[in-house]
Amino acid sequence: MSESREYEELLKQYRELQLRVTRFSAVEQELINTRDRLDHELVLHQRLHRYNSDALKEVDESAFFQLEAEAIVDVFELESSFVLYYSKKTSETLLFKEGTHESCSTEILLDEFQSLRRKINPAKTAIVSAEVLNQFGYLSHFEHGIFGYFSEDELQYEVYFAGLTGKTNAPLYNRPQERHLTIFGVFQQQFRAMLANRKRSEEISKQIAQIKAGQQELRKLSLIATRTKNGVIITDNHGRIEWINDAFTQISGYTLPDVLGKKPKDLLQGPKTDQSTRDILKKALWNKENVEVTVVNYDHEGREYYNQLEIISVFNEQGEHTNFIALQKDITAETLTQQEMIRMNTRFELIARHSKIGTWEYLPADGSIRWSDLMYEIYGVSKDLSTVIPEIWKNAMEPADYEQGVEDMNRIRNGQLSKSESTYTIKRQSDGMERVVETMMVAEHDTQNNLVRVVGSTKDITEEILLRKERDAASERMITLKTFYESVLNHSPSQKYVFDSEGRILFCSYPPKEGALWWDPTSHQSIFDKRNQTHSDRTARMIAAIEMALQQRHVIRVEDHGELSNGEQVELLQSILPYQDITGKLEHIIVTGVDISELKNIEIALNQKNEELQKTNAELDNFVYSISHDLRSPLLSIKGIVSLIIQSSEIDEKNRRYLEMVDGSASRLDGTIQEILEYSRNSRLDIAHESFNLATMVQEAFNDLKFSAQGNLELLLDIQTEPIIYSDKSRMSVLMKNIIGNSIKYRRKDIDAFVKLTLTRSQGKLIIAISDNGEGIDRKHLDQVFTMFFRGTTSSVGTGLGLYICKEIVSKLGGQLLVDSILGEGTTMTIILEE
Amino acid sequence: MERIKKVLLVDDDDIFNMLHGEVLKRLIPGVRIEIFKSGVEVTEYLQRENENDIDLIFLDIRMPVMGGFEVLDAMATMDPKRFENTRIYVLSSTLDDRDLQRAKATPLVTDFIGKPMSFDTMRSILGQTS
Repeated sequence: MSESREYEELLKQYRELQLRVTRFSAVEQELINTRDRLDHELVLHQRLHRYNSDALKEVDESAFFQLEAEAIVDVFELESSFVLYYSKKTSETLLFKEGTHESCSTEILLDEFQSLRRKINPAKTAIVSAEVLNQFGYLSHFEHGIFGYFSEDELQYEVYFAGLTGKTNAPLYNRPQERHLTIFGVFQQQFRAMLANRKRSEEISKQIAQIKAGQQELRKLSLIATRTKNGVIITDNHGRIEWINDAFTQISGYTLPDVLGKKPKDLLQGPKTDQSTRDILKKALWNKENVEVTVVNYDHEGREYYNQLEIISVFNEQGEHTNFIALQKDITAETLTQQEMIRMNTRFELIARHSKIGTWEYLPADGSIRWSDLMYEIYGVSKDLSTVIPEIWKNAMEPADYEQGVEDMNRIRNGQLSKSESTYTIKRQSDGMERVVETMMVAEHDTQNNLVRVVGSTKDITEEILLRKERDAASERMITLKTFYESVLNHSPSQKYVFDSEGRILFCSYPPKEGALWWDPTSHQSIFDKRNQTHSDRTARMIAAIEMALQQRHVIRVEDHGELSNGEQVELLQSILPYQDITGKLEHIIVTGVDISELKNIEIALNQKNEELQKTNAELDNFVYSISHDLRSPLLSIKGIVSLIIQSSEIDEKNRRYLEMVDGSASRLDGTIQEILEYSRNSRLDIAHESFNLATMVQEAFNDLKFSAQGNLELLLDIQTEPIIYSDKSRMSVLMKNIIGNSIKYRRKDIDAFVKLTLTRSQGKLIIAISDNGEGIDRKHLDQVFTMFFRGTTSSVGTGLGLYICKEIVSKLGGQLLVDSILGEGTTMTIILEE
Repeated sequence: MERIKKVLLVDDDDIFNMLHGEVLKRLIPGVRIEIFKSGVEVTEYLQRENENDIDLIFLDIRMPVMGGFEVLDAMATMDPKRFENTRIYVLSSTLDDRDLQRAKATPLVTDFIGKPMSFDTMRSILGQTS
């Protein structure tokens, strides 16, 4: 069994070998076929490459497409070819063909190619049989074909191409075969690449041209942006600053290096920037919308400004957002002005309300009339929606007034009148009272002189008119009074000037006498105005006196001399009154000149007389003294001789008594002479006051008189006040000597005698009392002691003139002389003088 | 007590000169008395004699030609040392207060005395020297 197994083994090996050979031959054949095919493809490829090299050189697109159509026929050895280009963007269709003789419209062919593509889809390159082609119109003329298609999404076009073999001419040409398919695919890819390159380069050059044009535009724009006064910011699409112009730098103080790459809101917004405005801006930027706002911004220094901001979103050709452009305008001044206007308007309204002025406006645009609240008050109507203002007017006004008002309004509206002021009588609706109102209306025009509106004011002046009437009546009374007083002044014998507080003349009465005027009544200049004025000495003296009166604020009187044209002198007494109101403010200067020429002459004459009299008086005085001296001298020598004889021891008692009687008579005669002299002087001489010490005077008088007295005698002084008094010294001396002399003369010799001076002051009066403890005066004689030549006793050594002279002196001094006495106890003489 | 040795009496009235001389002689025995009847006389005397030992001068005011005050004026021009120890009294029967004031205002005058000079007055004048 081994042989069979061997055989079987061998057979098996043979069959395997056979199988291998067969398989090898098949492989060999396959390799041959492949070689042939590759050779053919190489040929086709070489042809194709040649055409494509030519096509690449073509500049013109049509020539390029035409060359491709030729390439299909030539390379694939087919009868006809089509290249159909369709632009999706423009719907333009280009058709290129080779080897066809029949006419065919491009539209039909495109239509047929498109439905063919749908049938053979998804393959982009395909062999198409007669069965398929027969389903079409034009393409049914062909028996066999190869078909290709591609679309370029980015550049938006489709290309269809086909190589075809006709039914009739079929033997002459190749039929497209499997082997064409690969190379047709390669062709398709190459064509596609070439076309895409062409299209791209076209696109690029177009873009370059656009960019160039765009750059020029941009240059123009940036020139404008640079020159404009508005600030310009350009940002990228994220809102980061790329560029700013100079105006922005001026407004904000920021320069490009400060802001580059930053967001405007971070630079410009601040505490006072309104939140709602920020939100508007944020939303617009987010949505890439244009926006326009007014916003409070802050500059580099932190200064606040009002910015009118407009943001424009910029998109490119492809609709992509590229930039924001922000235009800025500093409107701080305008905004502040506007705010000020609003404030002013508010103020105006406030004033109008408080001044009781109603305001209204008429807008021709819609024919509406608006009233302020006060208008309703003035017309006495309540303000509600149903009130129709023209009707209120018509009802309230007198018909004639209303017509006038309507006419004024019309004339204002058509420009005949720019302003009208009138006074109307209206009937106030609330109480039916007649009121007088004053109205004014003004037209407001725009720059083109179109009427914008008519505004008016109305004020109730009823009370004012009443007041005005009263005032007019009062002023009429004033005028009457003025005329009256002026005529009184004009007919008074004095010359009156009235100046205002500035020294300007207000009134000058008619001069009563030539020469009374010292200031030109027609002069408009102030008397105090030093410019362009040269005053006469007289005027200068008067002005100086007026200035003094103003300074001292009381009346000053000055003597003034005028001159008549004949050279005669006029003497005036000028009284200058600075007239002040109750607050002490100077209102007028009133100068009154009285002609005192006559008085002056009398005064001069009087002075002369007086001087003569004084001279005569002095002469008389000297004469009286001389006489008294000469009368006394022999008398005194008699007394001297008598005393000499009495002193001698060679005389008896009887003769001594006789001699003492001679001495007594001589003394009485001497006393009489002295008293007559005193009386004469007191009645004749003027009073001459001076200050002197009364106590001293009394002391001296007492000392002089006590020589003649024997026994104890004392002077007591009770001075409760200042001993210096102001009086007529020589008269007071006579007075004191007389009174003290009496006290000494009538002292009681049996006791210690005294004379006492008491000096006091009370209620402006000087009280001098001289009292003694002497004999006193009998009560029944008290009221006679001051009578001339009265003597209390027959034994009295007096002349009866002493107290009479005292009384005369005191009465000459304007005082009182009182006597009080108790017989045997003493006497008090009291002198009361006004100090 | 300084003794009064030399007295000048000046008066145009002889009676007064006699009277005053009597009073002086009775009160000051042995006193030397020079009598002048006018202001001119006494002035000439004072100028001529140039004395400085006069104790008292009684001078009347009202005299013809040259009154007492004129004499005093003339004396004021003389050497004041001469009258250092001299007391001068003005004597007058005047009632004119001005004379009295003038006398008191004149530095050379010691006092004013009304005429006639009594023994009492003279005594009190002389007493002042003690």
